[in-house]
Amino acid sequence: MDVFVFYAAAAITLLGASMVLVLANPLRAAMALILSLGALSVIYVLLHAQFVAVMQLLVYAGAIIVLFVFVIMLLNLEDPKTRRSWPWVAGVFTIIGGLSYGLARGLMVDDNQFITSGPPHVNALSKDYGTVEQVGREIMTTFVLPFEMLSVLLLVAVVGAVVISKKRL
Amino acid sequence: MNISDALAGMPQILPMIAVIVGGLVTMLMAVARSHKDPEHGQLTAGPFVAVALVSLVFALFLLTQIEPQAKAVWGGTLAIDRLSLVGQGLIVVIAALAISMGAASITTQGIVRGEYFALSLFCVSGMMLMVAATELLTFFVGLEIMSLAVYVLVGFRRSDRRSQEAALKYFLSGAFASAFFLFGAAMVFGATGTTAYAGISTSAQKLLSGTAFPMQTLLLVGATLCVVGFAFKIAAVPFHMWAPDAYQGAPTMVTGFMAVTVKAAAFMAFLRFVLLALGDGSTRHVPWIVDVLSLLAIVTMTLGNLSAVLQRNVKRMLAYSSIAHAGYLLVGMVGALERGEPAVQGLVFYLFVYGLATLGAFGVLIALERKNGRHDEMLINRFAGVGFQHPALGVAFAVFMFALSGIPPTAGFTGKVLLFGPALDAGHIGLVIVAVLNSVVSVYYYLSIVVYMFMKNPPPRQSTEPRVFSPWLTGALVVTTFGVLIVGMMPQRWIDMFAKLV
Amino acid sequence: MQLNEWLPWLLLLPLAGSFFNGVLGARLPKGLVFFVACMPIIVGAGISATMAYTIFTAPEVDKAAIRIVYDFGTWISAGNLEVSGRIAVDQLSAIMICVITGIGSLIHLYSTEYMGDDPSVHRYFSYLNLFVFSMLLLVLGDNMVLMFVGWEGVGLCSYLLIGFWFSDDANASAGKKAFIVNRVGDFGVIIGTLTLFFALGTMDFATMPGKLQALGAAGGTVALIAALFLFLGATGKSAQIPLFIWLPDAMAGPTPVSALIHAATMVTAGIYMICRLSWLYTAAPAALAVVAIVGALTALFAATMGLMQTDIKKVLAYSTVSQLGFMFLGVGVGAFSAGFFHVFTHAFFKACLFLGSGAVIYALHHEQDIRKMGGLWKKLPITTWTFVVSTFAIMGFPGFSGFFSKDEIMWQAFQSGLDGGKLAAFPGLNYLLFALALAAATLTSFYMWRVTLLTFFSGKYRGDQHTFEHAKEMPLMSLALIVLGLGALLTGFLNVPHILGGHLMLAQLLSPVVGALPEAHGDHHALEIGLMAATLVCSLGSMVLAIRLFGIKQEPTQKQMTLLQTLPGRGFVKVLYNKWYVDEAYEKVIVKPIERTSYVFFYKLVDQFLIDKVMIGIFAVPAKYGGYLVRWIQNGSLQRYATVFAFGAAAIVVWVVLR
Repeated sequence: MDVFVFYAAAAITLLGASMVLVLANPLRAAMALILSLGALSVIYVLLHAQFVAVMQLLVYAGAIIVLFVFVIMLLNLEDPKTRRSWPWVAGVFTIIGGLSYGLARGLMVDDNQFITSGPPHVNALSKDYGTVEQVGREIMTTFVLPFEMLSVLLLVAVVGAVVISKKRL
Repeated sequence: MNISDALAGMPQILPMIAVIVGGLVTMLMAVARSHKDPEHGQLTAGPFVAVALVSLVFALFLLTQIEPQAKAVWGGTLAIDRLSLVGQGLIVVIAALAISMGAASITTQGIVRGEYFALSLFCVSGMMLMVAATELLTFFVGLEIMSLAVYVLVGFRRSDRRSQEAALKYFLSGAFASAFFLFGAAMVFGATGTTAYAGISTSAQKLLSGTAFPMQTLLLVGATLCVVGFAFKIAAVPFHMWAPDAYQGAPTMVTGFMAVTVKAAAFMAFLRFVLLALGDGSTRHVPWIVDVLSLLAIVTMTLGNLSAVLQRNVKRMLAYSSIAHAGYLLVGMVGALERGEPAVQGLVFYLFVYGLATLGAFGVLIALERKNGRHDEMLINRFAGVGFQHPALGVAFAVFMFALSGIPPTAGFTGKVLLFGPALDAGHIGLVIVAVLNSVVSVYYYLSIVVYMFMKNPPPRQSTEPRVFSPWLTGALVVTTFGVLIVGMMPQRWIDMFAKLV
Repeated sequence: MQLNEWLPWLLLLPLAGSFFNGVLGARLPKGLVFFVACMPIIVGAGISATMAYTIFTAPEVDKAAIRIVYDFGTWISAGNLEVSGRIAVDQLSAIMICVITGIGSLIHLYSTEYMGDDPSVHRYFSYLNLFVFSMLLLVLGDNMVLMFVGWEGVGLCSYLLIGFWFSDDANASAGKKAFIVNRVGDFGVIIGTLTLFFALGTMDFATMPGKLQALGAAGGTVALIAALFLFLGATGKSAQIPLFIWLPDAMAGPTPVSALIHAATMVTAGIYMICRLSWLYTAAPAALAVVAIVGALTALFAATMGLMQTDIKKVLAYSTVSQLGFMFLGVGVGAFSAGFFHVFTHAFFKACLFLGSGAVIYALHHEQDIRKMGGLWKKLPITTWTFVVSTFAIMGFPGFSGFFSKDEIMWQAFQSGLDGGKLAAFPGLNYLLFALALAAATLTSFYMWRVTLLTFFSGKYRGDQHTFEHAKEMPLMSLALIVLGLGALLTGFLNVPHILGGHLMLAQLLSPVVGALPEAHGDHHALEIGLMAATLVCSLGSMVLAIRLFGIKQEPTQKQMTLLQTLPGRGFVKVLYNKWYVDEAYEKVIVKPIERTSYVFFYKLVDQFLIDKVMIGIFAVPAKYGGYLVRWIQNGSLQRYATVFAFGAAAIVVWVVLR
């Protein structure tokens, strides 16, 4: 069951991502991105990362895509006259696909071993691994320093955005 | 593990907090000031520099008060060993010099906002976190704080399209590189189950000595992608392509700032990663890392120097020179992987020397910029006769060029000896030969500027706009010039400062 | 405070002054610039005098060993190379520092008036202080490396000061010429120093002689090689054949610079070095002979070139080259103290002559052509009389300083070939050396009187009357001239030879460093007196000839005037044509070929071929074409950046996985 869901979600993720690259209409590309990001959150659930999965849906599929769509509509983009150069896209796909396949072959002894057995520490995970509570506890103990420093990061982002975009200097 | 355990490390992050507070104060000052004279936006840099310097000097003082210890604090995310403390101190010192230099051009480069200082200080705090981080997530947060601030600083000259373009390019390729690093970090986490360097190290040793074939590959690929992320930040070929554009497009003071501090921070974090996550300080668990770094070093040095020879724009030339120096430093890192302690000392010492010399060179460029010279192209013939018109600047610049090309008695010579020596000791003769040949090539373009300064007559018609004068800049130039000379002539005690880092 | 603790200040004060004026001078009032520039040198002169006094009045028992030493600590320590940062004053350097700071202070004071109106006078003083620092370092350094640092430093300052008025192309190229020619010499110094280091394993002056002796027979070869290479360096710095060509051009710099650097101090660095390394040269008699021959040839050669110059400073420049030749002749025959004594006296009278010429140039608003001067004694009395005193000194008029120093050299040159002399191994050489020196001395007297008469006497002023009316002397400039003139008059009495009832005091004082004066066996007093008389007759003869030709109060005849106006043009005046034809032919046959050779050799071969073609071919050309390739990749497009990035990352990953 897990394996089937994984392959389905992975296929949808890749399909959505490919469509983002291939589709000429930016609005359609944004919609394809939602597809990809949504399927990705399914994979997170499979990986016991429930908290990340929820965040993925809320922040990316929700907020960020909405932002994209707003920008696209504000800019009033039309279909580009020129088509994408297909040999180029095909080349990129070939290379990425080839590399991924090579990597996968390198990682997997047989087709199922990676997913079913996994690394030892994954099999020994506790029940509440990846829950909001557990992540929250980690953030407030082990990772409290990087978590607090994120506030500086956000501050830099805000100041930077103002400096870069404010009309009158 | 509970919250109070984590907070026990509070005293150890006080230096970082001092810098952040400095940033906050300058940010508020910038807001208060911009209302006073909204029309002209003229800004006196003095108070900002003063606040920035106070916070940096205080941070340096606090750093000297911390007793180094091997055990990481803050739940194992922050190291306070000597590498961390000396590294943070180095960054604070160089940043203080760089910020002082920037004071001069704040009014001339169309940068009339005090946020420049706030962002610089935040950037420094990010670098300090990077250098001290002993865990991948923490490092990444530091990296992003630094990177975001630098992206904005590069684009600070908003009236100049080249500055804007450079910032955008740097931002996009930086995001690209961050993605690589994160992907790599995720793989490393997948293979080892931890993001802490100590845990990765033990786990890697087990994985790589055992037969856990798939996990081994996952770790190798992950670590490689992390290395790619680092290689981007230190501008190693082929991940260097942002550097020339960003260096040239950024306001000169920002170029100086990023050329030294970003490189120093990234290198020291890189050093910690390869030494302590992919090894345990004395032995390395992943043998390929030496080959990868050697290869990167050779390509980086050679391409950097060859490209620099062609440049007519001095800022761009210095950008390629800084790429070439990343190559030299990678040679030192190979030595550090092979030989440990003495090589680490040489590497950090060279970072210090490179920082002084490069910063000084950019300081001279700042001093040569003219008022309202926003589009002052720093072409090489702009330097004709400068040595006669401004002998002090000319001599200082010559000193920096000598130092960068490694000519005694400047510190560059001592630095190169200490940098290449361990790699040579470890038997990487070919690598060191390439490095030395590259140094010879580099003399050509470094000295060509000096030749222009002292052997050519100035162009007959010159801009009459007054040059920038700032006591801060003068002071920083004096410190860097004499630093390069004194460190070169009496190196022993300075070398000792960087002893026993690992 | 111990006396040796003053020693670092001697170095640091000028350095600080240089730095201060270089950085801040442009924004300070001129008075402060002058004060900051002059004080370190004047204070330094006080320190130097104290040190010299202490050394020369030391009790007899300490005299040989006394040195004032200050140690800055180990400077470089790498492998077996151990270079100390020790500076030391001994008898030799005591005199040198007195000359450098003493004459240096006078020239600094003089410069405040001479250069006072120059807009970048702070830059001038910054260089000048830096020069004094470097020169003191050269002299005080207690090992080869420190001396070499000073050696390079003075070269750099000289280059900067020659090209001081760089906006004039000729000045800049004169500076460059000096720099490049000196580079050839410095190459010799480096090779010589390295030879000594590899052979002896040390660079300390104190321990080197012992190490050389320990080498035994091999020491002779080492000494010969090192001595010859070092002498090559000396010919560059001290303007001897074949590297003298830069000094006449160096007159493009401000006149006080010519006085301080190109007459009194820097150009004597070569002689100083040979005196400092006297033990080395003594161990290599062949090298000594080479030094003597080159010195004597240069003395004569430069003197002949001085005959025909019309630029007052050029005459003095060739005269300097010629006098430096005398000094090399002196040290070359093993009479180190005699050569050094001439350094000392020459510093006074030549500085005085240069400053005098500077005073004239200043008074006449930068007129340097002696054909347009004359009769200036009425307007510039102090300048005139100090100039005349110095001319008497340089021609060797009895009682004046040059008389004692030059005659000592000539006598030593002659007696070196006598039984027991230093060059007795080269029979007949002493006659040649003496003949060359005698000819040079004769010519010296003539061209110096020629320039003196044409400038200050020879009837009336021949230039613009308005300029003449406004010519005046300045107080500080006159002060410097008077002090130097007194020096030119009196310093000779420091070293009066035995036959004139003296004790060769300076030679005795210096003997702990450079060894005693060589003495040939037997009694040659009559011979010495005879040679002295012969020299005197020749010098006086050409002085009389000069006075007959150019006149003191009487107007030059019409023919003489024409000669003066057309010189060195082609022959309008038949009567005097042949005389100048000889000189012009001389220039064509000797000077031009030398310039041509130097052009072909140094410029075409060394510079254009070896450096521009070969060196750049080896390094830069591949670099350049490699660069084009790189630039194709770096085309500014972000997509290409990302592509290269991705392929680079992929390549590394694939490599890591597959290996």
